[in-house]
Amino acid sequence: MSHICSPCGKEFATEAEYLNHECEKANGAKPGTPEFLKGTTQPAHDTIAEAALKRGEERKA
Amino acid sequence: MAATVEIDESNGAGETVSHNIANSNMGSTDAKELVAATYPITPGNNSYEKFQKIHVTNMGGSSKIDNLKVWRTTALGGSATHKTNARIAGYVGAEAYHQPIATTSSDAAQAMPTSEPASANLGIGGALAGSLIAAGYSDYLLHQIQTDAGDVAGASTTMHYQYDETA
Repeated sequence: MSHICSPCGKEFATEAEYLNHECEKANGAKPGTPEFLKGTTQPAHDTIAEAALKRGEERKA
Repeated sequence: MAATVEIDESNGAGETVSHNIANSNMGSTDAKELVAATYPITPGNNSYEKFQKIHVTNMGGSSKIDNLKVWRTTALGGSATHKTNARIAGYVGAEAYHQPIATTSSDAAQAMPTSEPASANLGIGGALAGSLIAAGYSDYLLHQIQTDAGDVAGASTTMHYQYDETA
């Protein structure tokens, strides 16, 4: 199984290598950071995360 | 900081995982982010199956991710149907990966919801009640577009992938 960072196209042998790379399409941000998502597929990451947290807290209550 | 979550797609016989895909375009080739105009579905045929996962890459200090819901909004072209393994009842567990096919999928047999499901319809660890307490993946979401011979136009629709997060 190989792993590709879809935004920059780089290929990695393992998921750990993917998670540790600095993506040139996200100004060097690594996957697993909000900056990576905001700079690639989720410009509205903060809004998405806020809504997810709200749903989770409402269900917990 | 909240959790970071991306959508991944698997393709090919040996399973190449493309992380953080930008779209879920469906067509006549097994590829992520395909250009539908380049790979149109011949009327009466199916798209290649899509194998996708919701991937939590970092919990961001939160304690739990669960309640995964997947649905599509906006109508398909003609009388095409959109089938999936996602379902809120009778979930058969985690789908095993196979090379995506364009023949009628026997694993994607449920209609893709066209509004937010009332409860989770995609599992974690093989169960709809499953949750992630560390970085990890959902079960595979498998889906396919199936057309009729009279369908002459496609459509642009929106896929929704939703999760709940507990701080």
